Amino acid sequence: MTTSNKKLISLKEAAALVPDGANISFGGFAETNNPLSFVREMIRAGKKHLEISGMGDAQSVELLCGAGAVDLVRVSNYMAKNGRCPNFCRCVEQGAIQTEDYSHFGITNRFFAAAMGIPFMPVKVMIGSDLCEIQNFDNGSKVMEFDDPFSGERCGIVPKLSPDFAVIHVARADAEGNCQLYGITSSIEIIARAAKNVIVTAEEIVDTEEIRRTNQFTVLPSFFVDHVVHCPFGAYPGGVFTYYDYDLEHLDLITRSGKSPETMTAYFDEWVYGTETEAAFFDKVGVRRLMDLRADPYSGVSLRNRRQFL
Amino acid sequence: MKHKKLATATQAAALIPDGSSLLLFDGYEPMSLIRELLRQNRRRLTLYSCGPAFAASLLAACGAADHILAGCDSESCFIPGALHVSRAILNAQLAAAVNGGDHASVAVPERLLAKAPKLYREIPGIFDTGTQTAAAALHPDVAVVHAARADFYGNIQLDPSADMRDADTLRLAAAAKTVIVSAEQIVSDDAIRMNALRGLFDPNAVTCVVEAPYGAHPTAFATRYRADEELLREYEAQEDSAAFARQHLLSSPDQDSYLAGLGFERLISLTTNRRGEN
Repeated sequence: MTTSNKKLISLKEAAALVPDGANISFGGFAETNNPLSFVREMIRAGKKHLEISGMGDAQSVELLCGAGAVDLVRVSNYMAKNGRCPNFCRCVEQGAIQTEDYSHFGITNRFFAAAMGIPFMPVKVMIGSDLCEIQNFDNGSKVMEFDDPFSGERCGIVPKLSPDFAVIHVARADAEGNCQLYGITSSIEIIARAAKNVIVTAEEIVDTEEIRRTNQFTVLPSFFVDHVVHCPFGAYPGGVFTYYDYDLEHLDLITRSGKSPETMTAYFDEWVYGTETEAAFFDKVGVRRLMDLRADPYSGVSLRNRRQFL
Repeated sequence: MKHKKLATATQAAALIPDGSSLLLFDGYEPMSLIRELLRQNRRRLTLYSCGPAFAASLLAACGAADHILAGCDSESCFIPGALHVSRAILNAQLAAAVNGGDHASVAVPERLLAKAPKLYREIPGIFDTGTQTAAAALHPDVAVVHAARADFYGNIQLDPSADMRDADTLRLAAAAKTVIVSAEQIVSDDAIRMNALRGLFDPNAVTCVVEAPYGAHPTAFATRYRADEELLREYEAQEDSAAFARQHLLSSPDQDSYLAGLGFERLISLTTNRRGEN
């Protein structure tokens, strides 16, 4: 853990911290809170041979697979808003990446063991199914059946999993790394506690006094966080509850582009390599589009997106 | 059934014909609407400016305003070409109109009695107090206000993080025959109910509502973004303000293009609170 109080760094600096071949985990679930500005910056930087261990981080993995940046994935059900994740599926079908299949709760418990500083966690998931029977690159260190020494009940144990890096997108953070998030937080606290290095991307950077004043929303205290990056709209085209909704049109564009390597390359050329910075990316998306996605203060999602802007 | 009041900037600007009198509020400046008025080449406007509104300076510099009455307490903020009174006098004149009076009994400096006899006069006291001074009630044709949130029906609010001390001044907009509001964000009526203590106007008094994110730029909107000081300083330094305004403030055909021209990075760098929440 970094103890320096200079945790606030640029997106480029943060992406440069992750070496090729790193074991990395991303926060976010479904279309919410995925650190996609960071992912795009990794793609711009040409990262390769990543080992990804995640819990429902499909949007991040889908883009990285499309860019050929991934070798191994511990996967727990990857779905896009509109169906399969075509880049990830193609990589699996063509043998370009190796996968190890977990349930959400199974992989979360691997992180949880690391977060608690203990060697394994007992679970009642995965055992008795192919998730337990079929073991690939984690063979022998995925899940093991055993009898509860107290009751004799059949259960499983999963070993701790401590990624080299966790990249977590939050709503607000201060320069010290105290982080706040509204709505569902998925497993981000557990992943952050499990990881050796934690990089947080935040919609807004606020004063520490503001964090203290509204401490009921704090999900990660500063001592778990090594680096903080200001990334407004950093989960786009996904959303952040109470900030902005997902952009279904752009998500569709990624899914459509992912149907073939050629169209995906064209997507990256236009939207990622073709925009040198995230500011340029968002200029291309359009300020008006971003404003239309802003969340209604009551529902936390966009009135226009949900067809309530009449 | 409630009537929806959402309008475009073009539709709203059409409610302000040449020769209208316009009420403006410093700190709540609907610059997107002002830009639309200038694009439509409005002329002969009379401006009542509560505080040193940048909009009043800009309209005057671009030749759109013939007369300005400004309520400013500091000479350093005076608007070129305006007749200046204290904020208290201008507010009293508007309050008199809101309350149905034809004048406000206020202390008026002598220079104003001589300079604007139609607005400020000496009158006999009615309680054996000799003479006193009075200021005529003001009935602007249109008040234009930039607020934080509005719903489709004309409920207007400041943000939860706003200092509500300005609300009493903003409510003087009711002196106008027509009230046009531009808002940072159109929100649901549930969101309005959730934040009920931040309400500004009776929705029946609001003629129409226009959504204008960053609608006060280049001025500040206290709960969301700071002023674009760089641009304002450049504007102040120009000898030909109108030419500068044409190039930097009026060259875009609408608010969307204007924001696109400013760019994502600049807008984010000015932003202090994305949602206006605490």
